[in-house]
Amino acid sequence: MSGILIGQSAINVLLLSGVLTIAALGFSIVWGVMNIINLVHGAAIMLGAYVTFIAFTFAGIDPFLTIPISMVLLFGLGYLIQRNIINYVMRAPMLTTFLLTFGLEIIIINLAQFFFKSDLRAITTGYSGSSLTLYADPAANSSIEVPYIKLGALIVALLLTLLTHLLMSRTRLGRAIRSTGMDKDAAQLTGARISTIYALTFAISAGLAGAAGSLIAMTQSFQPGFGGTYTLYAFVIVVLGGLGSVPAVFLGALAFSLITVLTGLWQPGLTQAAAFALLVIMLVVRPSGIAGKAFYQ
Amino acid sequence: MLKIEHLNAGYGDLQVLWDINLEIRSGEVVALIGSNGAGKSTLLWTLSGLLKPMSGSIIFAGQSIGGVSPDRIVSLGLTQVPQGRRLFAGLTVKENLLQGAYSRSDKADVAQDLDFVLELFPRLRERLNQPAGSLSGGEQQMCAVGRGFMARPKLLMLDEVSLGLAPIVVDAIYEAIGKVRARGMTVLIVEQDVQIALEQADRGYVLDVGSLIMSGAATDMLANPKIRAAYLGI
Repeated sequence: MSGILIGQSAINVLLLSGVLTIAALGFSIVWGVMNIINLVHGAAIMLGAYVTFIAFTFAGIDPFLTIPISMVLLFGLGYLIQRNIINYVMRAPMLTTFLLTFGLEIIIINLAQFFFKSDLRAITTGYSGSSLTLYADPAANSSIEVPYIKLGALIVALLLTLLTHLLMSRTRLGRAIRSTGMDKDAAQLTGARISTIYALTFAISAGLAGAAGSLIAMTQSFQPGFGGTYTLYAFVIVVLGGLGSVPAVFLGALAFSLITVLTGLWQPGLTQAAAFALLVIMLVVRPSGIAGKAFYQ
Repeated sequence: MLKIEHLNAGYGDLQVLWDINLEIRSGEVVALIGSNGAGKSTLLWTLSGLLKPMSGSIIFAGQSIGGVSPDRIVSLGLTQVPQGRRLFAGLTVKENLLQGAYSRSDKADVAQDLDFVLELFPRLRERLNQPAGSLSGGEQQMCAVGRGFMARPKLLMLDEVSLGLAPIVVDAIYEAIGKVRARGMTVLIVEQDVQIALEQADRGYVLDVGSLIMSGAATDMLANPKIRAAYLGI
Protein backbone atom coordinates (compact mmCIF):
# COMPACT_ATOMS: atom_id res chain seq x y z
CA MET A 1 0.00 0.00 0.00
CA SER A 2 1.42 3.36 -0.95
CA GLY A 3 1.88 6.18 1.49
CA ILE A 4 -0.67 8.27 -0.37
CA LEU A 5 -3.29 5.55 -0.15
CA ILE A 6 -2.68 5.17 3.60
CA GLY A 7 -2.86 8.93 4.08
CA GLN A 8 -6.03 9.28 2.05
CA SER A 9 -7.62 6.37 3.93
CA ALA A 10 -6.76 7.93 7.29
CA ILE A 11 -8.36 11.20 6.15
CA ASN A 12 -11.42 9.31 4.94
CA VAL A 13 -11.79 7.53 8.30
CA LEU A 14 -11.69 10.86 10.11
CA LEU A 15 -14.16 12.54 7.73
CA LEU A 16 -16.60 9.63 7.97
CA SER A 17 -16.38 9.30 11.75
CA GLY A 18 -17.29 12.95 12.30
CA VAL A 19 -20.63 12.71 10.53
CA LEU A 20 -21.33 9.25 11.97
CA THR A 21 -20.72 10.55 15.51
CA ILE A 22 -23.44 13.14 15.04
CA ALA A 23 -25.71 10.53 13.44
CA ALA A 24 -25.29 8.17 16.42
CA LEU A 25 -25.05 10.65 19.30
CA GLY A 26 -28.75 11.27 19.80
CA PHE A 27 -29.53 7.58 19.37
CA SER A 28 -27.05 6.78 22.12
CA ILE A 29 -28.39 9.41 24.53
CA VAL A 30 -32.01 8.28 24.16
CA TRP A 31 -31.00 4.65 24.59
CA GLY A 32 -28.81 5.36 27.60
CA VAL A 33 -31.13 7.74 29.42
CA MET A 34 -34.60 6.55 28.44
CA ASN A 35 -33.88 2.89 27.68
CA ILE A 36 -35.50 3.23 24.27
CA ILE A 37 -34.06 1.81 21.07
CA ASN A 38 -35.35 4.64 18.97
CA LEU A 39 -36.12 3.51 15.43
CA VAL A 40 -37.51 6.95 14.52
CA HIS A 41 -33.95 8.21 14.67
CA GLY A 42 -33.21 7.47 11.01
CA ALA A 43 -36.43 9.20 9.96
CA ALA A 44 -35.34 12.30 11.88
CA ILE A 45 -32.02 12.21 10.01
CA MET A 46 -33.95 11.93 6.74
CA LEU A 47 -36.14 14.92 7.63
CA GLY A 48 -33.02 16.95 8.41
CA ALA A 49 -31.71 16.12 4.94
CA TYR A 50 -34.94 17.32 3.34
CA VAL A 51 -34.91 20.54 5.36
CA THR A 52 -31.49 21.28 3.90
CA PHE A 53 -32.56 20.20 0.40
CA ILE A 54 -35.67 22.39 0.44
CA ALA A 55 -33.98 25.43 1.97
CA PHE A 56 -31.13 25.16 -0.53
CA THR A 57 -33.21 24.41 -3.61
CA PHE A 58 -36.10 26.81 -3.07
CA ALA A 59 -34.58 29.57 -0.93
CA GLY A 60 -30.99 29.33 -2.07
CA ILE A 61 -29.65 29.07 1.49
CA ASP A 62 -26.14 27.66 1.81
CA PRO A 63 -26.44 24.07 3.13
CA PHE A 64 -24.18 24.81 6.10
CA LEU A 65 -26.50 27.64 7.14
CA THR A 66 -29.47 25.26 7.04
CA ILE A 67 -28.04 23.17 9.89
CA PRO A 68 -29.51 25.37 12.66
CA ILE A 69 -32.87 25.31 10.88
CA SER A 70 -32.84 21.50 10.76
CA MET A 71 -31.82 21.33 14.40
CA VAL A 72 -34.52 23.67 15.64
CA LEU A 73 -37.29 22.03 13.58
CA LEU A 74 -36.30 18.51 14.55
CA PHE A 75 -35.82 19.55 18.19
CA GLY A 76 -39.42 20.74 18.19
CA LEU A 77 -40.71 17.64 16.43
CA GLY A 78 -38.79 15.39 18.82
CA TYR A 79 -40.21 17.23 21.82
CA LEU A 80 -43.75 16.82 20.51
CA ILE A 81 -43.32 13.13 19.67
CA GLN A 82 -41.98 12.31 23.14
CA ARG A 83 -44.45 14.49 25.01
CA ASN A 84 -47.57 13.41 23.14
CA ILE A 85 -46.86 9.85 22.06
CA ILE A 86 -43.95 7.95 23.58
CA ASN A 87 -44.49 9.45 27.05
CA TYR A 88 -47.65 7.37 27.41
CA VAL A 89 -45.77 4.09 27.15
CA MET A 90 -42.60 4.97 29.08
CA ARG A 91 -43.47 2.46 31.81
CA ALA A 92 -44.04 -0.34 29.30
CA PRO A 93 -41.31 -2.87 28.50
CA MET A 94 -38.61 -2.00 25.94
CA LEU A 95 -40.34 -4.05 23.23
CA THR A 96 -43.37 -1.71 23.35
CA THR A 97 -41.36 1.46 22.75
CA PHE A 98 -39.31 -0.43 20.16
CA LEU A 99 -42.43 -1.33 18.17
CA LEU A 100 -43.95 2.11 18.71
CA THR A 101 -40.91 3.89 17.27
CA PHE A 102 -40.85 1.34 14.44
CA GLY A 103 -44.44 2.29 13.58
CA LEU A 104 -43.67 6.00 13.82
CA GLU A 105 -40.70 5.58 11.50
CA ILE A 106 -42.84 3.96 8.83
CA ILE A 107 -45.49 6.68 9.14
CA ILE A 108 -42.89 9.46 8.78
CA ILE A 109 -41.15 7.79 5.83
CA ASN A 110 -44.46 7.19 4.09
CA LEU A 111 -45.50 10.82 4.60
CA ALA A 112 -42.12 11.91 3.25
CA GLN A 113 -42.60 9.74 0.18
CA PHE A 114 -46.00 11.31 -0.32
CA PHE A 115 -44.86 14.93 0.01
CA PHE A 116 -41.26 14.78 -1.26
CA LYS A 117 -41.72 11.92 -3.80
CA SER A 118 -39.29 9.02 -3.98
CA ASP A 119 -36.91 10.69 -6.44
CA LEU A 120 -33.23 10.71 -5.58
CA ARG A 121 -32.23 14.18 -4.40
CA ALA A 122 -28.82 15.76 -4.22
CA ILE A 123 -27.36 19.13 -3.36
CA THR A 124 -24.68 20.65 -5.55
CA THR A 125 -23.11 23.89 -4.37
CA GLY A 126 -20.50 26.03 -6.06
CA TYR A 127 -17.80 24.44 -3.90
CA SER A 128 -19.08 20.85 -4.10
CA GLY A 129 -16.41 19.64 -6.48
CA SER A 130 -13.39 21.38 -5.03
CA SER A 131 -11.03 20.04 -2.45
CA LEU A 132 -7.98 20.85 -0.43
CA THR A 133 -4.86 19.06 -1.64
CA LEU A 134 -2.84 18.04 1.38
CA TYR A 135 -0.10 16.28 -0.52
CA ALA A 136 0.55 15.63 -4.20
CA ASP A 137 2.95 13.31 -5.94
CA PRO A 138 3.15 14.43 -9.60
CA ALA A 139 5.32 11.46 -10.57
CA ALA A 140 2.64 8.96 -9.56
CA ASN A 141 -0.13 11.38 -10.55
CA SER A 142 -1.85 10.91 -7.18
CA SER A 143 -2.58 13.06 -4.17
CA ILE A 144 -4.26 13.23 -0.76
CA GLU A 145 -7.43 15.26 -1.11
CA VAL A 146 -9.89 16.64 1.44
CA PRO A 147 -13.12 17.81 -0.19
CA TYR A 148 -14.04 21.20 1.29
CA ILE A 149 -17.61 20.15 1.92
CA LYS A 150 -16.51 17.11 3.92
CA LEU A 151 -13.95 19.16 5.79
CA GLY A 152 -16.68 21.63 6.73
CA ALA A 153 -18.94 18.78 7.77
CA LEU A 154 -16.19 17.36 9.97
CA ILE A 155 -15.63 20.70 11.68
CA VAL A 156 -19.36 21.15 12.31
CA ALA A 157 -19.62 17.57 13.56
CA LEU A 158 -16.72 17.94 15.99
CA LEU A 159 -18.09 21.25 17.24
CA LEU A 160 -21.56 19.77 17.86
CA THR A 161 -20.04 16.73 19.56
CA LEU A 162 -18.08 19.00 21.89
CA LEU A 163 -21.14 21.13 22.61
CA THR A 164 -23.25 18.06 23.35
CA HIS A 165 -20.55 16.78 25.69
CA LEU A 166 -20.48 20.10 27.53
CA LEU A 167 -24.28 20.20 27.68
CA MET A 168 -24.42 16.73 29.23
CA SER A 169 -21.48 17.10 31.61
CA ARG A 170 -21.49 20.75 32.66
CA THR A 171 -25.02 22.09 32.67
CA ARG A 172 -27.91 21.81 35.10
CA LEU A 173 -30.08 20.23 32.41
CA GLY A 174 -27.38 17.71 31.50
CA ARG A 175 -26.97 16.73 35.13
CA ALA A 176 -30.73 16.27 35.49
CA ILE A 177 -30.80 14.15 32.32
CA ARG A 178 -27.99 11.93 33.58
CA SER A 179 -29.62 11.67 37.04
CA THR A 180 -32.89 10.63 35.45
CA GLY A 181 -31.10 8.01 33.34
CA MET A 182 -29.47 6.54 36.44
CA ASP A 183 -32.44 6.54 38.83
CA LYS A 184 -35.74 7.94 37.66
CA ASP A 185 -37.46 7.86 41.07
CA ALA A 186 -34.52 9.42 42.89
CA ALA A 187 -34.42 12.15 40.24
CA GLN A 188 -38.09 12.87 40.88
CA LEU A 189 -37.34 13.14 44.59
CA THR A 190 -34.86 15.93 43.77
CA GLY A 191 -37.62 17.81 41.99
CA ALA A 192 -36.97 16.84 38.38
CA ARG A 193 -40.12 16.64 36.26
CA ILE A 194 -39.50 13.40 34.42
CA SER A 195 -41.87 13.93 31.50
CA THR A 196 -40.13 17.25 30.71
CA ILE A 197 -36.65 15.75 31.11
CA TYR A 198 -37.57 12.91 28.75
CA ALA A 199 -39.12 15.28 26.22
CA LEU A 200 -36.00 17.48 26.25
CA THR A 201 -33.71 14.44 25.98
CA PHE A 202 -35.66 13.18 22.98
CA ALA A 203 -35.70 16.67 21.48
CA ILE A 204 -31.91 17.04 21.83
CA SER A 205 -31.51 13.66 20.19
CA ALA A 206 -33.79 14.60 17.29
CA GLY A 207 -32.05 17.97 16.91
CA LEU A 208 -28.71 16.18 16.56
CA ALA A 209 -30.30 13.81 14.05
CA GLY A 210 -31.46 16.86 12.10
CA ALA A 211 -27.91 18.19 12.00
CA ALA A 212 -26.67 14.78 10.85
CA GLY A 213 -29.28 14.79 8.08
CA SER A 214 -28.14 18.21 6.88
CA LEU A 215 -24.51 17.08 6.81
CA ILE A 216 -25.34 13.84 4.99
CA ALA A 217 -27.49 15.69 2.44
CA MET A 218 -24.40 17.65 1.35
CA THR A 219 -22.34 14.58 0.60
CA GLN A 220 -24.64 11.95 -0.86
CA SER A 221 -27.84 11.64 -2.85
CA PHE A 222 -30.86 10.48 -0.91
CA GLN A 223 -34.55 9.55 -0.96
CA PRO A 224 -37.08 9.20 1.89
CA GLY A 225 -35.99 5.69 2.88
CA PHE A 226 -32.30 6.40 3.43
CA GLY A 227 -32.46 7.05 7.16
CA GLY A 228 -32.98 3.43 8.17
CA THR A 229 -29.40 2.60 7.23
CA TYR A 230 -28.20 5.28 9.63
CA THR A 231 -30.32 3.86 12.44
CA LEU A 232 -28.47 0.59 11.88
CA TYR A 233 -25.10 2.39 11.77
CA ALA A 234 -25.99 4.20 14.98
CA PHE A 235 -26.86 0.89 16.60
CA VAL A 236 -23.51 -0.65 15.65
CA ILE A 237 -21.61 2.47 16.73
CA VAL A 238 -23.29 2.54 20.14
CA VAL A 239 -22.58 -1.15 20.71
CA LEU A 240 -18.95 -0.65 19.61
CA GLY A 241 -18.32 2.39 21.75
CA GLY A 242 -20.50 1.48 24.70
CA LEU A 243 -23.54 3.23 26.09
CA GLY A 244 -21.49 5.37 28.40
CA SER A 245 -20.94 8.88 27.19
CA VAL A 246 -20.40 11.29 24.33
CA PRO A 247 -16.71 10.33 23.95
CA ALA A 248 -17.78 6.66 23.78
CA VAL A 249 -19.93 7.46 20.74
CA PHE A 250 -16.96 9.15 19.06
CA LEU A 251 -14.79 6.09 19.75
CA GLY A 252 -17.49 3.82 18.34
CA ALA A 253 -17.85 5.96 15.22
CA LEU A 254 -14.07 5.96 14.74
CA ALA A 255 -13.92 2.15 14.99
CA PHE A 256 -16.89 1.80 12.64
CA SER A 257 -15.34 4.16 10.08
CA LEU A 258 -12.01 2.37 10.26
CA ILE A 259 -13.62 -0.98 9.51
CA THR A 260 -15.74 0.51 6.71
CA VAL A 261 -12.83 2.27 5.01
CA LEU A 262 -10.43 -0.67 5.35
CA THR A 263 -12.96 -3.16 4.04
CA GLY A 264 -13.78 -0.73 1.25
CA LEU A 265 -10.15 -0.74 0.13
CA TRP A 266 -10.11 -4.48 -0.03
CA GLN A 267 -13.63 -5.45 -1.08
CA PRO A 268 -16.11 -2.55 -1.42
CA GLY A 269 -19.08 -4.92 -1.61
CA LEU A 270 -18.48 -6.26 1.88
CA THR A 271 -18.33 -3.11 4.02
CA GLN A 272 -21.71 -3.69 5.68
CA ALA A 273 -21.01 -7.35 6.31
CA ALA A 274 -17.73 -6.40 7.97
CA ALA A 275 -19.32 -3.71 10.12
CA PHE A 276 -22.04 -6.00 11.33
CA ALA A 277 -19.62 -8.90 11.85
CA LEU A 278 -17.85 -6.53 14.20
CA LEU A 279 -21.15 -5.88 15.96
CA VAL A 280 -21.71 -9.60 16.47
CA ILE A 281 -18.17 -10.16 17.73
CA MET A 282 -18.44 -7.17 20.05
CA LEU A 283 -21.73 -8.34 21.55
CA VAL A 284 -20.24 -11.75 22.29
CA VAL A 285 -16.81 -10.65 23.51
CA ARG A 286 -17.37 -7.28 25.17
CA PRO A 287 -21.03 -6.30 25.32
CA SER A 288 -20.28 -3.15 27.30
CA GLY A 289 -18.41 -1.63 24.35
CA ILE A 290 -14.91 -0.18 23.99
CA ALA A 291 -15.43 2.54 26.60
CA GLY A 292 -17.61 0.21 28.60
CA LYS A 293 -20.11 1.95 30.82
CA ALA A 294 -23.55 0.72 31.69
CA PHE A 295 -25.32 4.07 31.66
CA TYR A 296 -24.97 7.67 30.67
CA GLN A 297 -22.34 9.58 32.60
CA MET B 1 -47.00 21.90 58.69
CA LEU B 2 -48.14 18.44 57.58
CA LYS B 3 -51.56 17.05 58.28
CA ILE B 4 -52.66 13.64 57.05
CA GLU B 5 -56.29 12.62 57.48
CA HIS B 6 -57.92 9.28 56.75
CA LEU B 7 -55.27 8.37 54.23
CA ASN B 8 -55.56 5.08 52.38
CA ALA B 9 -52.78 4.20 49.95
CA GLY B 10 -50.95 1.33 48.28
CA TYR B 11 -49.75 -0.10 45.00
CA GLY B 12 -52.40 -0.64 42.34
CA ASP B 13 -55.12 -2.74 43.96
CA LEU B 14 -52.93 -3.68 46.90
CA GLN B 15 -53.82 -1.42 49.81
CA VAL B 16 -50.93 -1.02 52.24
CA LEU B 17 -51.95 1.94 54.42
CA TRP B 18 -55.27 2.06 56.24
CA ASP B 19 -56.86 5.24 57.59
CA ILE B 20 -53.67 7.06 58.53
CA ASN B 21 -54.03 10.22 60.64
CA LEU B 22 -50.82 12.02 61.42
CA GLU B 23 -49.73 15.55 62.15
CA ILE B 24 -46.34 17.22 62.17
CA ARG B 25 -46.03 20.76 63.53
CA SER B 26 -43.48 23.29 62.40
CA GLY B 27 -40.09 22.84 64.07
CA GLU B 28 -40.82 19.38 65.42
CA VAL B 29 -38.84 16.20 65.02
CA VAL B 30 -41.26 13.33 64.69
CA ALA B 31 -40.36 9.66 64.63
CA LEU B 32 -42.33 7.10 62.67
CA ILE B 33 -41.41 3.65 63.84
CA GLY B 34 -42.49 0.22 62.78
CA SER B 35 -41.06 -3.10 61.75
CA ASN B 36 -40.10 -4.18 58.26
CA GLY B 37 -43.12 -4.19 55.95
CA ALA B 38 -45.30 -2.00 58.18
CA GLY B 39 -45.81 0.50 55.34
CA LYS B 40 -43.40 3.25 56.38
CA SER B 41 -41.78 3.67 52.98
CA THR B 42 -45.17 3.42 51.26
CA LEU B 43 -46.30 6.39 53.34
CA LEU B 44 -43.22 8.40 52.40
CA TRP B 45 -43.56 7.47 48.73
CA THR B 46 -47.18 8.68 48.87
CA LEU B 47 -46.22 11.92 50.60
CA SER B 48 -43.58 12.59 47.91
CA GLY B 49 -46.13 12.08 45.16
CA LEU B 50 -44.62 8.92 43.70
CA LEU B 51 -47.78 7.05 44.70
CA LYS B 52 -51.28 8.45 44.38
CA PRO B 53 -53.43 8.12 47.51
CA MET B 54 -56.55 5.97 47.17
CA SER B 55 -58.46 8.34 49.44
CA GLY B 56 -57.97 10.78 52.27
CA SER B 57 -56.24 14.12 52.45
CA ILE B 58 -52.65 15.27 52.77
CA ILE B 59 -52.22 18.97 53.59
CA PHE B 60 -48.69 20.36 53.48
CA ALA B 61 -47.94 24.01 54.25
CA GLY B 62 -51.61 24.84 53.70
CA GLN B 63 -51.91 23.06 50.35
CA SER B 64 -53.46 19.75 49.43
CA ILE B 65 -50.68 17.59 47.96
CA GLY B 66 -52.44 14.24 47.57
CA GLY B 67 -51.77 13.10 43.99
CA VAL B 68 -49.72 16.22 43.16
CA SER B 69 -46.64 15.58 40.98
CA PRO B 70 -43.35 14.89 42.83
CA ASP B 71 -41.54 17.93 41.41
CA ARG B 72 -44.23 20.30 42.72
CA ILE B 73 -44.12 18.70 46.13
CA VAL B 74 -40.34 19.22 46.28
CA SER B 75 -40.85 22.85 45.22
CA LEU B 76 -43.33 23.31 48.06
CA GLY B 77 -40.62 22.25 50.52
CA LEU B 78 -41.17 18.56 51.17
CA THR B 79 -38.16 16.35 50.46
CA GLN B 80 -37.19 12.84 51.39
CA VAL B 81 -33.96 10.95 51.73
CA PRO B 82 -35.12 7.62 50.34
CA GLN B 83 -34.39 4.23 51.81
CA GLY B 84 -31.32 2.61 50.28
CA ARG B 85 -29.81 6.08 49.56
CA ARG B 86 -30.61 5.96 45.84
CA LEU B 87 -27.60 8.08 44.92
CA PHE B 88 -26.77 8.74 41.28
CA ALA B 89 -23.86 6.31 41.26
CA GLY B 90 -22.13 7.65 38.16
CA LEU B 91 -22.37 11.29 39.19
CA THR B 92 -19.73 12.80 41.45
CA VAL B 93 -20.49 13.63 45.07
CA LYS B 94 -20.67 17.30 44.13
CA GLU B 95 -23.08 16.61 41.26
CA ASN B 96 -25.27 14.54 43.56
CA LEU B 97 -25.40 17.34 46.10
CA LEU B 98 -26.13 19.97 43.45
CA GLN B 99 -28.84 17.78 41.95
CA GLY B 100 -30.43 17.87 45.40
CA ALA B 101 -30.88 21.61 44.88
CA TYR B 102 -32.40 21.10 41.41
CA SER B 103 -35.71 22.71 42.32
CA ARG B 104 -34.05 25.88 43.65
CA SER B 105 -33.20 28.98 41.67
CA ASP B 106 -31.31 30.90 44.39
CA LYS B 107 -27.81 30.22 43.11
CA ALA B 108 -25.86 32.08 45.76
CA ASP B 109 -27.70 30.36 48.60
CA VAL B 110 -27.17 26.97 46.96
CA ALA B 111 -23.42 27.58 46.97
CA GLN B 112 -23.63 28.50 50.66
CA ASP B 113 -25.66 25.40 51.47
CA LEU B 114 -23.13 23.25 49.65
CA ASP B 115 -20.47 24.67 51.94
CA PHE B 116 -22.71 24.02 54.93
CA VAL B 117 -23.23 20.37 53.95
CA LEU B 118 -19.50 19.89 53.42
CA GLU B 119 -18.86 21.32 56.89
CA LEU B 120 -21.41 18.91 58.33
CA PHE B 121 -19.74 16.00 56.52
CA PRO B 122 -16.04 16.78 56.01
CA ARG B 123 -15.56 13.30 54.57
CA LEU B 124 -17.63 14.37 51.56
CA ARG B 125 -15.33 17.30 50.90
CA GLU B 126 -12.44 14.87 50.46
CA ARG B 127 -14.48 12.84 47.98
CA LEU B 128 -16.13 15.76 46.21
CA ASN B 129 -15.09 14.82 42.68
CA GLN B 130 -15.34 11.05 43.01
CA PRO B 131 -18.30 9.10 41.64
CA ALA B 132 -20.83 8.56 44.42
CA GLY B 133 -20.83 4.85 43.61
CA SER B 134 -17.22 4.57 44.74
CA LEU B 135 -17.92 5.76 48.31
CA SER B 136 -18.23 3.54 51.39
CA GLY B 137 -21.72 2.82 52.72
CA GLY B 138 -21.44 5.43 55.45
CA GLU B 139 -20.15 8.09 53.08
CA GLN B 140 -22.95 7.29 50.65
CA GLN B 141 -25.52 7.80 53.39
CA MET B 142 -23.90 11.14 54.29
CA CYS B 143 -24.12 12.11 50.63
CA ALA B 144 -27.78 11.06 50.47
CA VAL B 145 -28.65 13.04 53.60
CA GLY B 146 -26.62 15.97 52.28
CA ARG B 147 -28.51 15.81 48.98
CA GLY B 148 -31.73 16.03 50.98
CA PHE B 149 -30.46 19.09 52.87
CA MET B 150 -29.52 20.76 49.58
CA ALA B 151 -33.19 21.11 48.68
CA ARG B 152 -33.47 23.26 51.81
CA PRO B 153 -36.87 21.74 52.56
CA LYS B 154 -39.34 22.92 55.17
CA LEU B 155 -39.89 19.29 56.07
CA LEU B 156 -37.22 16.64 55.54
CA MET B 157 -38.22 13.00 55.70
CA LEU B 158 -35.45 10.50 56.39
CA ASP B 159 -36.13 6.87 55.52
CA GLU B 160 -34.00 4.36 57.44
CA VAL B 161 -30.80 6.39 57.39
CA SER B 162 -29.21 4.21 60.09
CA LEU B 163 -29.80 0.93 58.29
CA GLY B 164 -26.65 -1.16 57.99
CA LEU B 165 -24.30 1.55 59.23
CA ALA B 166 -21.68 1.49 61.98
CA PRO B 167 -22.82 3.26 65.20
CA ILE B 168 -20.16 5.95 64.82
CA VAL B 169 -21.49 6.84 61.35
CA VAL B 170 -25.08 6.87 62.62
CA ASP B 171 -24.01 9.28 65.36
CA ALA B 172 -22.33 11.57 62.83
CA ILE B 173 -25.44 11.62 60.65
CA TYR B 174 -27.83 12.29 63.51
CA GLU B 175 -25.52 15.00 64.83
CA ALA B 176 -25.81 16.66 61.43
CA ILE B 177 -29.57 16.28 61.51
CA GLY B 178 -29.56 18.01 64.90
CA LYS B 179 -27.72 20.94 63.34
CA VAL B 180 -30.19 21.40 60.50
CA ARG B 181 -32.98 21.19 63.02
CA ALA B 182 -31.39 24.11 64.82
CA ARG B 183 -31.74 26.04 61.55
CA GLY B 184 -35.49 25.54 61.67
CA MET B 185 -35.96 22.48 59.52
CA THR B 186 -38.79 20.18 60.54
CA VAL B 187 -37.82 16.51 60.42
CA LEU B 188 -39.64 13.21 60.09
CA ILE B 189 -37.44 10.28 61.07
CA VAL B 190 -38.57 6.90 59.79
CA GLU B 191 -36.69 4.09 61.45
CA GLN B 192 -36.79 0.44 62.35
CA ASP B 193 -34.30 1.25 65.08
CA VAL B 194 -36.74 2.50 67.69
CA GLN B 195 -34.13 3.50 70.24
CA ILE B 196 -32.30 5.83 67.83
CA ALA B 197 -35.49 7.35 66.45
CA LEU B 198 -37.17 8.10 69.75
CA GLU B 199 -33.99 9.51 71.30
CA GLN B 200 -33.91 12.12 68.54
CA ALA B 201 -37.60 12.91 68.34
CA ASP B 202 -40.09 15.07 70.20
CA ARG B 203 -43.01 12.82 69.36
CA GLY B 204 -43.49 9.43 67.82
CA TYR B 205 -45.99 7.31 65.93
CA VAL B 206 -46.02 3.54 65.66
CA LEU B 207 -47.07 2.01 62.35
CA ASP B 208 -48.06 -1.64 62.39
CA VAL B 209 -49.32 -3.60 59.38
CA GLY B 210 -50.47 -0.43 57.64
CA SER B 211 -52.21 1.26 60.58
CA LEU B 212 -51.04 3.75 63.16
CA ILE B 213 -51.52 2.00 66.49
CA MET B 214 -49.90 4.41 68.92
CA SER B 215 -48.61 7.94 69.22
CA GLY B 216 -47.27 10.18 71.93
CA ALA B 217 -44.32 12.08 73.34
CA ALA B 218 -41.04 10.35 72.51
CA THR B 219 -39.94 10.11 76.15
CA ASP B 220 -43.23 8.48 77.15
CA MET B 221 -42.96 6.03 74.28
CA LEU B 222 -39.42 5.06 75.21
CA ALA B 223 -40.70 4.30 78.71
CA ASN B 224 -43.79 2.47 77.48
CA PRO B 225 -43.54 -1.22 78.44
CA LYS B 226 -45.42 -2.35 75.32
CA ILE B 227 -42.98 -0.60 73.02
CA ARG B 228 -40.03 -1.79 75.06
CA ALA B 229 -41.27 -5.35 74.74
CA ALA B 230 -42.31 -5.24 71.08
CA TYR B 231 -39.52 -3.17 69.54
CA LEU B 232 -36.64 -2.99 71.96
CA GLY B 233 -36.75 -6.55 73.18
CA ILE B 234 -36.44 -5.47 76.79
